[in-house]
Amino acid sequence: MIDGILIGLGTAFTPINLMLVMLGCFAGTFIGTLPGLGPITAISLMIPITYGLDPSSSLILMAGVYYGAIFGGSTSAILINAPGVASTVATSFDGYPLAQKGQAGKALAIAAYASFSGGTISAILLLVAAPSLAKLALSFQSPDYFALMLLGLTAVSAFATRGNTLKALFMAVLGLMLASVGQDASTAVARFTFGIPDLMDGLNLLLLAMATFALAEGLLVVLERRKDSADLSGVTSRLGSLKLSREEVREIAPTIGRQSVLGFVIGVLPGAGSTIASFLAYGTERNMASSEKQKEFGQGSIRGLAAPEAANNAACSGSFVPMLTLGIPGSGTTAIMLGALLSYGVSPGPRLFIDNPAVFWSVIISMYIGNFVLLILNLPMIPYISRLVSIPQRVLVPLILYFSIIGVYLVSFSTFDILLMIGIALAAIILRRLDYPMAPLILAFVLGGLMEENLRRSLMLNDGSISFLWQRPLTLAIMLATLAVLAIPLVRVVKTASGR
Amino acid sequence: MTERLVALVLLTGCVAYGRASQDIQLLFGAEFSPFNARTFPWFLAWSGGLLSLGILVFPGSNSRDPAFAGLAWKPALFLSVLVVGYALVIPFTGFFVASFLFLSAAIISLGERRLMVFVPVAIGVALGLFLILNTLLGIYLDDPLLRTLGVN
Repeated sequence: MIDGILIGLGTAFTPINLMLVMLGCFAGTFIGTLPGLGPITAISLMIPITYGLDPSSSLILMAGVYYGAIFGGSTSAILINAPGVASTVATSFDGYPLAQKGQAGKALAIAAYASFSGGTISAILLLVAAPSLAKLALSFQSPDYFALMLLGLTAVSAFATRGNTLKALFMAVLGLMLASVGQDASTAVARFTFGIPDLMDGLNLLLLAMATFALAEGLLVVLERRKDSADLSGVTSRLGSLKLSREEVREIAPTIGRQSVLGFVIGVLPGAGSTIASFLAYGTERNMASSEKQKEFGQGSIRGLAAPEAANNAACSGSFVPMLTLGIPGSGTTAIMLGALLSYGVSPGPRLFIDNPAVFWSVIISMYIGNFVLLILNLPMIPYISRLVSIPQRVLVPLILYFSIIGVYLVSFSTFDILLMIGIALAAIILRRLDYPMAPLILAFVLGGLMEENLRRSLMLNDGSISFLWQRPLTLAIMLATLAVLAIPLVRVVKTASGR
Repeated sequence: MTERLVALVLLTGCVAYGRASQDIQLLFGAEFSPFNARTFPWFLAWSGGLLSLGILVFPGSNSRDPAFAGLAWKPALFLSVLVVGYALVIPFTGFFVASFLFLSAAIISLGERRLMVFVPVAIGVALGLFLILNTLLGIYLDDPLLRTLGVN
């Protein structure tokens, strides 16, 4: 492990990678601060830039963007009560009341310190957990992988939107269907190409991510007549002090510690992610507080702000564990990163830290550097970033659309891809308006090929029998977990329907 | 109503996908194999069909009801047409002119009419990106206009 850490340090501390972490954190903060644009959009927009870089540098840049976007989302949640992403909604419960009391600076500082501590604690946990899990995963067989992917997709769908599990599950199936377009991996037979040569290689992940997130988001801003966030600059001109008193530090320190661990554990679970982690952290912290302190929650409690911030940042690191060790992303964001890695010819999974130790360890080390960058560089730069956010929508939206289409065009130089992209974006808008979540679609699209391959191997070895799903205790345990995850929301759907 | 209509469209799509999956050509003898190129799509068509049928029966909750009322369709659709136009124009005009035209038209369509705003933004972004891609990253972009002007 020491060798690995040294390799990681050597790679992460090269001037180019340090610069990329900073660039990623800054770009992520900027995009994340824009209401409605989250880490998935931020990372999608960055992918075209990463094509000229080696895999380690690319992943380092994307990890920086991920952290930055979460931090940026917190900023808009605190300053204007407009969380950029779902995982920062809980931050606005107490962050915005603090800002209204004239303590926006303090709120931002607490968010930054909590994020930094959460990120640091989880980076240490990742350092320990990832190699151990990777070693364990070396004993995994095709049925286990298939079952694990099924669990990941089910969990992401079950947790994606409350009350819309069927829609989320359908989106996962739709993602798998889209992944089946193109040549079959094992026989090279063309599937669903309808004689169109551009579809022979299948759909491009970047195209799908850009169409469903960046392009659709840009069009939704116009469609929903979202207002400019110009008032943000007004708020930042009266931030107030960034300093915390000793009592305040003493009050939030234990909160940050325990919620970081909770956030990391939630992040490791497939599908759970930072949104659930932040709400769970907020809820547990409120329940743990004395009745006197409980009254402060929702009115500007510093514990209420620190808890979700520490947890959502820790969950971000946690979500890297299944991606790096099993090759199975636990969220839409890590799914895009996994897809990008696959396109560079790197296969994340248990052999990653043996075959590509530089990629594995440098990402873990760069997460730590990213946390430093966010604390030291981004916090003082918030007023300037806020000013950038004040770019009017009528200029910003065309730029988002332009960078989305040019990002896809630069990969293939095919105008067919742009036309396909706008078609998918319009379909995504309709589905998003009807609460069909996009994250399961992306995750399923990335996992589609691997899932089919593992199902093929399992069925071939079992003469076409599906008994492989319960023959090994590990597969059986994963399948039981999948059924449990699936049963809870489906029972709720039937109960709601029968109650009407 | 809209929920059910969309669910019906999705169900039809799944049926069409399942039908198309049976047209996938198989290698000799593959139809006797426990797993061939049609197996996974066939399983997906059934899963998707059952799920869309489920949505049709239990449409669930929608945070926006009605989902499509009061939306600014005109500018959004105009921007979509501009994207299509960009795809059709770029092979003929090259990167810079197509990008400049797209950005200018998109910014103007959203209400920014000041020449001193949209022209510098459109030229700056198109030219800046061209130089970064062409000069810094070494990605060749065909551009007749800039080539004539000696920029690349």
